[in-house]
Amino acid sequence: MKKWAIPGAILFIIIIIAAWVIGSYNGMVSATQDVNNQWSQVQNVYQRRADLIPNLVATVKGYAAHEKSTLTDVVKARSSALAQQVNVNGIPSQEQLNKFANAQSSLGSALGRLMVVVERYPDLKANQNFLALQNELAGTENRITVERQRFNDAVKNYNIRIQRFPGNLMARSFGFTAKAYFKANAQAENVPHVTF
Amino acid sequence: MRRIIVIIAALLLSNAVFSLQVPSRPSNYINDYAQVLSPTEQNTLNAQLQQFEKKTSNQIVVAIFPDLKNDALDDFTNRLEEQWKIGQKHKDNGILIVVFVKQHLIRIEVGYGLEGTVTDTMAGLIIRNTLAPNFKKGNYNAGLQQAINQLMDLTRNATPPEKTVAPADHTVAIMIAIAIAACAFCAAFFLLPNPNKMNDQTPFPVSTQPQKKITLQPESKRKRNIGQIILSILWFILSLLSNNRGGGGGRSGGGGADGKW
Repeated sequence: MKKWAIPGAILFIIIIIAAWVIGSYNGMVSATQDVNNQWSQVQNVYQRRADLIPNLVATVKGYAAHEKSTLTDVVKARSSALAQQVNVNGIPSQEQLNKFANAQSSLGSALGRLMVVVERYPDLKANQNFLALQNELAGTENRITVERQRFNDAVKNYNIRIQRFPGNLMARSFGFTAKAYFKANAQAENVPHVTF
Repeated sequence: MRRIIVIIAALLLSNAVFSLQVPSRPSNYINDYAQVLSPTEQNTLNAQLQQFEKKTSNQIVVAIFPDLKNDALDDFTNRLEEQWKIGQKHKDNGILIVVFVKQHLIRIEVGYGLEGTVTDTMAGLIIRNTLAPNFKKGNYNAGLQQAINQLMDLTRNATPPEKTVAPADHTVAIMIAIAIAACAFCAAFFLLPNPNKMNDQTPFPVSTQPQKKITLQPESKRKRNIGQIILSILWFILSLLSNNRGGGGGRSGGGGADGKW
Protein backbone atom coordinates (compact mmCIF):
# COMPACT_ATOMS: atom_id res chain seq x y z
CA MET A 1 0.00 0.00 0.00
CA LYS A 2 2.84 2.38 0.84
CA LYS A 3 4.16 2.34 -2.74
CA TRP A 4 0.98 4.20 -3.80
CA ALA A 5 1.61 7.03 -1.37
CA ILE A 6 4.56 8.69 -3.14
CA PRO A 7 3.16 8.72 -6.70
CA GLY A 8 -0.15 9.82 -5.18
CA ALA A 9 1.48 12.74 -3.39
CA ILE A 10 3.38 13.74 -6.55
CA LEU A 11 0.19 13.59 -8.59
CA PHE A 12 -1.56 15.68 -5.94
CA ILE A 13 1.16 18.35 -6.05
CA ILE A 14 1.12 18.39 -9.88
CA ILE A 15 -2.64 18.86 -9.91
CA ILE A 16 -2.39 21.70 -7.39
CA ILE A 17 0.39 23.46 -9.34
CA ALA A 18 -1.49 23.04 -12.63
CA ALA A 19 -4.63 24.43 -10.98
CA TRP A 20 -2.66 27.43 -9.74
CA VAL A 21 -1.10 28.09 -13.17
CA ILE A 22 -4.43 27.83 -14.95
CA GLY A 23 -6.18 29.88 -12.30
CA SER A 24 -3.73 32.74 -12.28
CA TYR A 25 -3.47 32.82 -16.09
CA ASN A 26 -7.25 32.90 -16.45
CA GLY A 27 -7.46 35.52 -13.72
CA MET A 28 -5.05 37.76 -15.63
CA VAL A 29 -7.00 37.28 -18.84
CA SER A 30 -10.23 38.27 -17.08
CA ALA A 31 -8.55 41.27 -15.46
CA THR A 32 -7.29 42.40 -18.89
CA GLN A 33 -10.79 42.07 -20.26
CA ASP A 34 -12.13 44.13 -17.37
CA VAL A 35 -9.67 46.92 -18.17
CA ASN A 36 -10.59 46.69 -21.86
CA ASN A 37 -14.27 46.81 -21.09
CA GLN A 38 -13.89 49.71 -18.72
CA TRP A 39 -11.80 51.62 -21.23
CA SER A 40 -14.56 51.36 -23.81
CA GLN A 41 -16.97 52.65 -21.17
CA VAL A 42 -14.69 55.66 -20.65
CA GLN A 43 -14.62 56.26 -24.40
CA ASN A 44 -18.40 55.91 -24.57
CA VAL A 45 -19.06 58.61 -22.02
CA TYR A 46 -16.58 61.00 -23.62
CA GLN A 47 -18.17 60.27 -26.97
CA ARG A 48 -21.53 61.03 -25.41
CA ARG A 49 -20.26 64.43 -24.31
CA ALA A 50 -18.86 65.13 -27.77
CA ASP A 51 -22.21 64.19 -29.31
CA LEU A 52 -24.07 66.66 -27.11
CA ILE A 53 -21.91 69.61 -28.08
CA PRO A 54 -23.21 70.44 -31.60
CA ASN A 55 -26.74 70.65 -30.23
CA LEU A 56 -25.62 72.73 -27.28
CA VAL A 57 -23.65 75.11 -29.48
CA ALA A 58 -26.61 75.51 -31.84
CA THR A 59 -28.95 76.31 -28.95
CA VAL A 60 -26.58 78.81 -27.36
CA LYS A 61 -25.94 80.47 -30.72
CA GLY A 62 -29.63 81.31 -31.02
CA TYR A 63 -29.48 83.44 -27.87
CA ALA A 64 -25.88 84.49 -27.57
CA ALA A 65 -24.61 84.84 -31.13
CA HIS A 66 -21.93 87.38 -30.27
CA GLU A 67 -20.14 85.00 -27.86
CA LYS A 68 -18.53 83.67 -30.99
CA SER A 69 -15.01 83.14 -29.62
CA THR A 70 -16.23 81.02 -26.70
CA LEU A 71 -18.34 78.92 -29.02
CA THR A 72 -15.50 78.47 -31.50
CA ASP A 73 -13.23 77.37 -28.66
CA VAL A 74 -15.68 74.65 -27.73
CA VAL A 75 -16.03 73.45 -31.31
CA LYS A 76 -12.25 73.40 -31.82
CA ALA A 77 -11.62 71.60 -28.53
CA ARG A 78 -14.28 69.07 -29.47
CA SER A 79 -12.71 68.19 -32.79
CA SER A 80 -9.24 67.81 -31.33
CA ALA A 81 -10.64 65.64 -28.53
CA LEU A 82 -12.40 63.48 -31.10
CA ALA A 83 -9.17 63.21 -33.09
CA GLN A 84 -7.41 61.86 -30.00
CA GLN A 85 -10.18 59.41 -29.41
CA VAL A 86 -9.79 57.86 -32.83
CA ASN A 87 -6.10 57.31 -32.19
CA VAL A 88 -6.64 55.09 -29.19
CA ASN A 89 -7.37 51.50 -30.05
CA GLY A 90 -7.45 48.89 -27.32
CA ILE A 91 -6.01 49.60 -23.89
CA PRO A 92 -3.99 52.83 -24.16
CA SER A 93 -0.38 53.32 -23.15
CA GLN A 94 0.46 56.00 -20.61
CA GLU A 95 1.46 58.40 -23.39
CA GLN A 96 -1.75 57.85 -25.35
CA LEU A 97 -3.77 58.16 -22.20
CA ASN A 98 -2.11 61.46 -21.25
CA LYS A 99 -2.79 62.89 -24.71
CA PHE A 100 -6.37 61.72 -24.53
CA ALA A 101 -6.82 63.19 -21.05
CA ASN A 102 -5.31 66.51 -22.07
CA ALA A 103 -7.53 66.86 -25.12
CA GLN A 104 -10.61 65.95 -23.11
CA SER A 105 -9.78 68.33 -20.30
CA SER A 106 -9.26 71.24 -22.75
CA LEU A 107 -12.72 70.45 -24.04
CA GLY A 108 -13.95 70.35 -20.45
CA SER A 109 -12.58 73.78 -19.67
CA ALA A 110 -13.87 75.26 -22.96
CA LEU A 111 -17.30 73.95 -21.98
CA GLY A 112 -16.84 75.41 -18.51
CA ARG A 113 -16.18 78.85 -19.99
CA LEU A 114 -19.25 78.51 -22.18
CA MET A 115 -21.37 77.69 -19.15
CA VAL A 116 -20.08 80.81 -17.38
CA VAL A 117 -20.94 82.98 -20.39
CA VAL A 118 -24.40 81.45 -20.55
CA GLU A 119 -25.16 82.76 -17.07
CA ARG A 120 -25.53 86.22 -18.61
CA TYR A 121 -28.50 85.19 -20.77
CA PRO A 122 -31.65 84.69 -18.67
CA ASP A 123 -33.76 83.87 -21.75
CA LEU A 124 -31.39 81.09 -22.71
CA LYS A 125 -31.37 79.72 -19.20
CA ALA A 126 -35.17 79.49 -19.24
CA ASN A 127 -35.22 77.70 -22.60
CA GLN A 128 -36.54 74.14 -22.18
CA ASN A 129 -34.23 72.76 -24.83
CA PHE A 130 -31.25 74.34 -23.10
CA LEU A 131 -32.35 73.04 -19.71
CA ALA A 132 -32.59 69.56 -21.16
CA LEU A 133 -29.12 69.88 -22.69
CA GLN A 134 -27.81 71.11 -19.37
CA ASN A 135 -29.25 68.01 -17.69
CA GLU A 136 -27.67 65.76 -20.28
CA LEU A 137 -24.34 67.52 -19.97
CA ALA A 138 -24.36 67.37 -16.17
CA GLY A 139 -25.32 63.68 -16.33
CA THR A 140 -22.50 63.06 -18.79
CA GLU A 141 -19.91 64.79 -16.63
CA ASN A 142 -21.07 62.63 -13.75
CA ARG A 143 -20.81 59.52 -15.89
CA ILE A 144 -17.30 60.53 -16.92
CA THR A 145 -16.25 60.75 -13.27
CA VAL A 146 -17.79 57.38 -12.48
CA GLU A 147 -16.40 55.52 -15.48
CA ARG A 148 -12.94 57.03 -15.09
CA GLN A 149 -12.93 55.93 -11.47
CA ARG A 150 -14.01 52.44 -12.48
CA PHE A 151 -11.36 52.32 -15.20
CA ASN A 152 -8.69 53.15 -12.62
CA ASP A 153 -10.11 50.51 -10.28
CA ALA A 154 -9.95 47.91 -13.06
CA VAL A 155 -6.36 48.91 -13.88
CA LYS A 156 -5.42 48.75 -10.21
CA ASN A 157 -6.95 45.30 -9.88
CA TYR A 158 -5.04 44.14 -12.96
CA ASN A 159 -1.75 45.71 -11.92
CA ILE A 160 -1.90 44.25 -8.44
CA ARG A 161 -2.62 40.85 -9.93
CA ILE A 162 0.38 40.88 -12.25
CA GLN A 163 2.82 42.55 -9.85
CA ARG A 164 2.22 40.61 -6.67
CA PHE A 165 4.31 37.56 -5.90
CA PRO A 166 3.97 34.82 -7.13
CA GLY A 167 1.64 36.12 -9.82
CA ASN A 168 4.47 38.26 -11.22
CA LEU A 169 6.38 35.11 -12.24
CA MET A 170 3.37 34.00 -14.27
CA ALA A 171 2.80 37.49 -15.68
CA ARG A 172 6.38 37.70 -16.89
CA SER A 173 6.32 34.33 -18.59
CA PHE A 174 2.99 35.02 -20.27
CA GLY A 175 3.88 38.60 -21.23
CA PHE A 176 1.38 40.57 -19.13
CA THR A 177 2.59 44.12 -18.54
CA ALA A 178 1.37 46.90 -16.27
CA LYS A 179 -1.38 49.19 -17.61
CA ALA A 180 -1.58 52.97 -17.34
CA TYR A 181 -3.87 54.87 -14.97
CA PHE A 182 -6.11 57.72 -16.05
CA LYS A 183 -4.62 60.62 -14.14
CA ALA A 184 -6.58 63.80 -13.81
CA ASN A 185 -4.20 66.64 -14.63
CA ALA A 186 -4.30 70.23 -13.40
CA GLN A 187 -6.52 71.29 -16.29
CA ALA A 188 -9.03 68.59 -15.58
CA GLU A 189 -9.91 70.27 -12.33
CA ASN A 190 -11.70 72.97 -14.31
CA VAL A 191 -14.51 70.65 -15.35
CA PRO A 192 -17.60 72.65 -16.22
CA HIS A 193 -19.68 73.31 -13.20
CA VAL A 194 -23.26 73.18 -14.37
CA THR A 195 -25.66 74.97 -12.08
CA PHE A 196 -29.42 75.18 -12.24
CA MET B 1 -25.96 14.70 13.77
CA ARG B 2 -22.32 15.49 13.01
CA ARG B 3 -23.18 15.95 9.35
CA ILE B 4 -25.84 18.50 10.22
CA ILE B 5 -23.38 20.49 12.33
CA VAL B 6 -20.77 20.42 9.56
CA ILE B 7 -23.34 21.59 6.99
CA ILE B 8 -24.58 24.36 9.27
CA ALA B 9 -21.01 25.51 9.87
CA ALA B 10 -20.36 25.58 6.12
CA LEU B 11 -23.59 27.50 5.59
CA LEU B 12 -22.69 30.10 8.21
CA LEU B 13 -19.24 30.45 6.76
CA SER B 14 -20.53 30.96 3.23
CA ASN B 15 -23.09 33.48 4.47
CA ALA B 16 -20.35 35.43 6.19
CA VAL B 17 -18.49 35.59 2.88
CA PHE B 18 -21.59 36.85 1.08
CA SER B 19 -22.52 39.55 3.55
CA LEU B 20 -18.97 40.90 3.36
CA GLN B 21 -19.28 41.25 -0.41
CA VAL B 22 -22.72 42.85 -0.32
CA PRO B 23 -23.09 45.43 2.46
CA SER B 24 -26.52 45.47 4.02
CA ARG B 25 -29.12 47.36 2.06
CA PRO B 26 -32.53 48.35 3.39
CA SER B 27 -35.45 46.03 2.72
CA ASN B 28 -37.86 48.93 2.28
CA TYR B 29 -38.35 50.96 -0.87
CA ILE B 30 -39.04 54.15 1.06
CA ASN B 31 -36.25 55.01 3.47
CA ASP B 32 -37.13 58.17 5.30
CA TYR B 33 -34.24 58.99 7.60
CA ALA B 34 -35.45 62.59 7.93
CA GLN B 35 -38.96 61.68 9.08
CA VAL B 36 -40.84 63.86 6.64
CA LEU B 37 -43.34 61.12 5.71
CA SER B 38 -45.93 59.59 8.02
CA PRO B 39 -45.88 55.80 8.53
CA THR B 40 -49.10 55.44 6.50
CA GLU B 41 -47.66 57.41 3.61
CA GLN B 42 -44.55 55.26 3.71
CA ASN B 43 -46.60 52.06 3.76
CA THR B 44 -48.68 53.15 0.77
CA LEU B 45 -45.62 54.00 -1.31
CA ASN B 46 -43.80 50.85 -0.20
CA ALA B 47 -46.74 48.69 -1.23
CA GLN B 48 -46.96 50.38 -4.63
CA LEU B 49 -43.26 49.99 -5.32
CA GLN B 50 -43.23 46.40 -4.17
CA GLN B 51 -46.07 45.55 -6.53
CA PHE B 52 -44.30 47.41 -9.30
CA GLU B 53 -41.14 45.39 -8.79
CA LYS B 54 -43.10 42.14 -8.76
CA LYS B 55 -44.65 43.03 -12.11
CA THR B 56 -41.73 44.60 -13.95
CA SER B 57 -38.66 43.69 -11.85
CA ASN B 58 -37.73 47.38 -11.95
CA GLN B 59 -36.69 48.73 -8.56
CA ILE B 60 -37.44 52.29 -7.50
CA VAL B 61 -35.97 53.18 -4.14
CA VAL B 62 -36.30 56.45 -2.24
CA ALA B 63 -33.87 57.68 0.40
CA ILE B 64 -34.56 60.88 2.33
CA PHE B 65 -31.75 62.19 4.47
CA PRO B 66 -31.89 65.13 6.86
CA ASP B 67 -28.46 66.57 6.09
CA LEU B 68 -25.75 66.11 3.45
CA LYS B 69 -23.15 67.69 5.76
CA ASN B 70 -19.95 68.40 3.83
CA ASP B 71 -20.32 65.63 1.29
CA ALA B 72 -20.81 66.20 -2.44
CA LEU B 73 -24.21 65.16 -3.78
CA ASP B 74 -23.00 63.16 -6.80
CA ASP B 75 -20.29 61.50 -4.82
CA PHE B 76 -22.63 60.46 -2.05
CA THR B 77 -25.34 59.12 -4.35
CA ASN B 78 -22.82 57.16 -6.39
CA ARG B 79 -21.52 55.53 -3.25
CA LEU B 80 -25.04 54.87 -2.02
CA GLU B 81 -25.99 53.31 -5.32
CA GLU B 82 -22.86 51.20 -5.33
CA GLN B 83 -23.57 49.87 -1.84
CA TRP B 84 -27.30 49.35 -2.19
CA LYS B 85 -27.04 47.90 -5.69
CA ILE B 86 -30.52 48.90 -6.74
CA GLY B 87 -32.04 47.02 -9.64
CA GLN B 88 -31.69 43.40 -10.67
CA LYS B 89 -28.30 41.98 -11.37
CA HIS B 90 -27.41 42.02 -15.10
CA LYS B 91 -30.51 44.15 -15.80
CA ASP B 92 -29.34 47.19 -13.83
CA ASN B 93 -32.93 48.40 -13.80
CA GLY B 94 -32.88 50.47 -10.63
CA ILE B 95 -33.80 54.08 -9.93
CA LEU B 96 -32.73 55.81 -6.75
CA ILE B 97 -34.32 59.06 -5.60
CA VAL B 98 -32.20 60.79 -2.99
CA VAL B 99 -33.40 63.85 -1.07
CA PHE B 100 -31.49 66.04 1.35
CA VAL B 101 -33.96 68.06 3.37
CA LYS B 102 -31.59 70.61 4.86
CA GLN B 103 -29.75 71.44 1.63
CA HIS B 104 -32.93 71.24 -0.50
CA LEU B 105 -31.14 68.89 -2.88
CA ILE B 106 -32.60 66.13 -5.00
CA ARG B 107 -30.91 63.57 -7.15
CA ILE B 108 -32.44 60.88 -9.33
CA GLU B 109 -29.87 58.23 -10.08
CA VAL B 110 -30.72 55.91 -12.95
CA GLY B 111 -29.20 52.45 -13.41
CA TYR B 112 -27.44 51.49 -16.66
CA GLY B 113 -30.41 49.43 -17.85
CA LEU B 114 -32.93 52.29 -17.68
CA GLU B 115 -30.71 55.10 -18.98
CA GLY B 116 -32.40 54.90 -22.35
CA THR B 117 -35.89 55.13 -20.87
CA VAL B 118 -35.35 57.64 -18.09
CA THR B 119 -32.90 59.97 -19.78
CA ASP B 120 -31.11 62.68 -17.86
CA THR B 121 -33.57 65.11 -19.44
CA MET B 122 -36.57 63.15 -18.17
CA ALA B 123 -35.05 62.90 -14.71
CA GLY B 124 -34.36 66.64 -14.78
CA LEU B 125 -37.94 67.36 -15.84
CA ILE B 126 -39.36 65.25 -13.03
CA ILE B 127 -37.20 67.14 -10.55
CA ARG B 128 -38.03 70.58 -11.95
CA ASN B 129 -41.74 70.09 -12.62
CA THR B 130 -42.85 67.58 -10.02
CA LEU B 131 -40.55 67.21 -7.06
CA ALA B 132 -39.27 70.76 -6.62
CA PRO B 133 -42.66 72.59 -6.74
CA ASN B 134 -44.20 70.14 -4.24
CA PHE B 135 -41.21 70.11 -1.94
CA LYS B 136 -41.22 73.91 -1.93
CA LYS B 137 -44.66 73.79 -0.36
CA GLY B 138 -43.55 71.07 2.05
CA ASN B 139 -45.63 68.41 0.30
CA TYR B 140 -43.06 65.65 0.38
CA ASN B 141 -45.57 62.86 0.05
CA ALA B 142 -47.45 64.40 -2.88
CA GLY B 143 -44.22 65.18 -4.71
CA LEU B 144 -42.80 61.72 -4.25
CA GLN B 145 -46.10 60.05 -5.11
CA GLN B 146 -46.36 61.97 -8.38
CA ALA B 147 -42.70 61.47 -9.26
CA ILE B 148 -42.95 57.75 -8.55
CA ASN B 149 -46.08 57.52 -10.71
CA GLN B 150 -44.27 59.25 -13.55
CA LEU B 151 -41.23 56.98 -13.19
CA MET B 152 -43.46 53.90 -13.09
CA ASP B 153 -45.31 55.03 -16.22
CA LEU B 154 -42.02 55.62 -17.98
CA THR B 155 -40.44 52.32 -17.06
CA ARG B 156 -43.47 50.03 -17.04
CA ASN B 157 -42.75 48.60 -20.45
CA ALA B 158 -39.02 49.14 -20.39
CA THR B 159 -37.03 46.07 -21.20
CA PRO B 160 -33.46 46.71 -20.18
CA PRO B 161 -31.05 44.82 -22.39
CA GLU B 162 -29.94 41.79 -20.45
CA LYS B 163 -26.19 41.82 -20.15
CA THR B 164 -24.39 38.82 -21.51
CA VAL B 165 -22.27 37.28 -18.82
CA ALA B 166 -19.04 35.48 -19.52
CA PRO B 167 -19.44 31.81 -18.63
CA ALA B 168 -18.04 31.10 -15.19
CA ASP B 169 -14.73 29.27 -15.23
CA HIS B 170 -14.81 26.38 -12.79
CA THR B 171 -11.73 24.55 -14.04
CA VAL B 172 -9.55 25.42 -11.06
CA ALA B 173 -12.17 24.70 -8.44
CA ILE B 174 -12.94 21.36 -10.01
CA MET B 175 -9.24 20.46 -10.17
CA ILE B 176 -8.75 21.38 -6.54
CA ALA B 177 -11.86 19.47 -5.58
CA ILE B 178 -10.53 16.40 -7.43
CA ALA B 179 -7.16 16.75 -5.77
CA ILE B 180 -8.71 17.06 -2.32
CA ALA B 181 -11.04 14.16 -2.98
CA ALA B 182 -8.15 12.01 -4.24
CA CYS B 183 -6.06 12.95 -1.23
CA ALA B 184 -8.86 12.19 1.19
CA PHE B 185 -9.51 8.92 -0.61
CA CYS B 186 -5.87 7.95 -0.18
CA ALA B 187 -6.00 8.96 3.47
CA ALA B 188 -9.15 6.97 4.06
CA PHE B 189 -7.80 3.82 2.46
CA PHE B 190 -4.11 3.78 3.21
CA LEU B 191 -3.56 5.68 6.41
CA LEU B 192 -6.43 4.28 8.47
CA PRO B 193 -6.22 0.70 9.70
CA ASN B 194 -7.85 -1.60 7.20
CA PRO B 195 -10.92 -3.40 8.53
CA ASN B 196 -10.30 -6.42 6.28
CA LYS B 197 -6.83 -6.78 7.66
CA MET B 198 -8.19 -6.74 11.16
CA ASN B 199 -10.72 -9.35 10.20
CA ASP B 200 -7.88 -11.53 8.96
CA GLN B 201 -6.21 -11.28 12.31
CA THR B 202 -9.32 -12.36 14.17
CA PRO B 203 -9.90 -16.07 14.22
CA PHE B 204 -13.67 -15.77 13.83
CA PRO B 205 -15.82 -14.06 11.21
CA VAL B 206 -17.24 -10.77 12.34
CA SER B 207 -20.86 -11.83 12.09
CA THR B 208 -20.49 -14.61 14.63
CA GLN B 209 -18.72 -12.41 17.14
CA PRO B 210 -20.99 -9.70 18.50
CA GLN B 211 -18.19 -8.09 20.59
CA LYS B 212 -15.99 -7.65 17.56
CA LYS B 213 -18.62 -5.46 15.99
CA ILE B 214 -18.31 -3.03 18.83
CA THR B 215 -14.57 -2.68 18.36
CA LEU B 216 -14.99 -2.16 14.63
CA GLN B 217 -17.60 0.53 14.93
CA PRO B 218 -15.46 3.51 15.91
CA GLU B 219 -13.21 2.82 12.97
CA SER B 220 -15.96 2.71 10.37
CA LYS B 221 -17.36 5.82 12.01
CA ARG B 222 -14.06 7.58 11.52
CA LYS B 223 -14.19 6.67 7.85
CA ARG B 224 -17.66 8.04 7.55
CA ASN B 225 -16.54 11.27 9.20
CA ILE B 226 -13.83 11.71 6.62
CA GLY B 227 -16.45 11.17 3.95
CA GLN B 228 -18.55 13.87 5.56
CA ILE B 229 -15.66 16.30 5.72
CA ILE B 230 -14.87 15.75 2.04
CA LEU B 231 -18.54 16.25 1.19
CA SER B 232 -18.78 19.44 3.18
CA ILE B 233 -15.59 20.83 1.62
CA LEU B 234 -16.94 20.08 -1.85
CA TRP B 235 -20.28 21.57 -0.87
CA PHE B 236 -18.57 24.68 0.44
CA ILE B 237 -16.59 25.12 -2.80
CA LEU B 238 -19.76 24.65 -4.83
CA SER B 239 -21.66 27.16 -2.69
CA LEU B 240 -18.88 29.70 -3.30
CA LEU B 241 -19.13 29.06 -7.01
CA SER B 242 -22.89 29.46 -7.26
CA ASN B 243 -22.55 33.10 -6.15
CA ASN B 244 -26.27 33.62 -5.83
CA ARG B 245 -26.81 36.99 -4.19
CA GLY B 246 -30.55 37.25 -4.65
CA GLY B 247 -32.38 40.58 -5.33
CA GLY B 248 -30.36 43.68 -6.03
CA GLY B 249 -27.00 43.73 -7.74
CA GLY B 250 -27.84 46.45 -10.23
CA ARG B 251 -25.23 49.01 -11.25
CA SER B 252 -25.45 52.62 -12.23
CA GLY B 253 -22.96 54.68 -14.18
CA GLY B 254 -23.86 58.09 -12.84
CA GLY B 255 -26.83 58.67 -15.14
CA GLY B 256 -29.74 60.77 -13.95
CA ALA B 257 -30.08 64.36 -12.87
CA ASP B 258 -29.92 66.55 -9.82
CA GLY B 259 -31.66 69.70 -8.78
CA LYS B 260 -32.70 72.03 -6.02
CA TRP B 261 -35.97 73.30 -4.63
